[in-house]
Amino acid sequence: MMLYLSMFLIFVYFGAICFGGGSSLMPFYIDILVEKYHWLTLHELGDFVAISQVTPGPIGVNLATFLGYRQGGIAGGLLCTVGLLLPSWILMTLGVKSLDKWENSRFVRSLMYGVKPATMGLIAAAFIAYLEISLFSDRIPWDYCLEILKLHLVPYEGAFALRWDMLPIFLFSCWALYRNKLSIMGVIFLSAGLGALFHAVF
Amino acid sequence: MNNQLTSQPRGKVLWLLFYHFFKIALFVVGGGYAILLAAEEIFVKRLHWLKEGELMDMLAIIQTIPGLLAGNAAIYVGYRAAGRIGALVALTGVALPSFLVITFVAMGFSYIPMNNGYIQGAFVGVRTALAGLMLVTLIRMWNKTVHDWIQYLIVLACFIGVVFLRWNPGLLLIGAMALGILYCMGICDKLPESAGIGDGEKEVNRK
Repeated sequence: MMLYLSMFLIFVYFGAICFGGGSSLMPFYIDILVEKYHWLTLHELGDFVAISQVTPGPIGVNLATFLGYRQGGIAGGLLCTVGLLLPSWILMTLGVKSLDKWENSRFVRSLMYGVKPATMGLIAAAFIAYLEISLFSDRIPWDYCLEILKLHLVPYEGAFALRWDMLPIFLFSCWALYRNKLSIMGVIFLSAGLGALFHAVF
Repeated sequence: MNNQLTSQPRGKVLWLLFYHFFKIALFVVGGGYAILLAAEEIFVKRLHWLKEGELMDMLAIIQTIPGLLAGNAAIYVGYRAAGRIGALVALTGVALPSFLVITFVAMGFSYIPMNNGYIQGAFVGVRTALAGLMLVTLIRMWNKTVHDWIQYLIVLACFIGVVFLRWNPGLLLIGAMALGILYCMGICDKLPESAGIGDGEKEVNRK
């Protein structure tokens, strides 16, 4: 019972701090679900995000259902989804009458002045976390980089390496998405195919 | 309130809200923005419940209220059509297909042989593509969000705080809010241009 309650409350919290759409929640999923409560590994989170992107419906709802199901079955999926959507239902229905005033309010504009760049920084941090489970084979050894900067030239002994077979996929997906050559779904399916293919070749 | 709406019985309005949002969420892949466009197609162009362009004008505001884009859009349309209950019905409609589909997918997920090398390769490939997607999102958002050196500092502080110092992202976000209010309403009396929430996004989205 306590588990379900805490699942619900965690997702109410996510719903309340989700500024600018579902992707801004990624750093919070990593911080809370992966690192603090160990619901799942970063790898699994990445897999769930990918599946949420290629299934119909809002990506945030897909992901919340997936995470909730994983932790607490069907009831868990339902609680997490409801929790995620509850704050916006309350806030929107309270504020919808004065939305025009809201847009020009000094307070809101000042708030967004800080929120927007903070979201950028947090998504950039999530991007690094993603690189560490895709293009790189382990966490970036920052301590070792620091040693090199201090000119302590010691040979590196660790698991960190660049996965060369993933580099073309990374560059291709950046190019295709930036130039709008393919939809997100197309890029994801193509990358899955290429990833399996490269595994067969290398 | 619109003419088309007041002439219809409330039960029918609620049913249409649920039916259309359920259909959109079941068939539109690609997340919030795609769903928003589909909702505009039906509720503005076909049913005329909302004024032309109203939903797109609301986009900038909807993005300042916490929540998912698709969820907030559904709440907005539902509220305009049938008040608080309408908002709840529309939200249920937009969330239910995801819930059902994903529950089935999640049930089957444990049967995927994750030890298989090809499947591992495929998932690493997908994660790589998602890293690319995040980078592209960041580059696209950059010009719309970061305009002066204080905002540069906020980006940098949040990045360093999470990656190197392992600070709590929630506290960083609250800190950034406080800084924004302190700076825009206290230190500099006049609001900088960059604090606007629309910032020409509407023009881009209209095209």
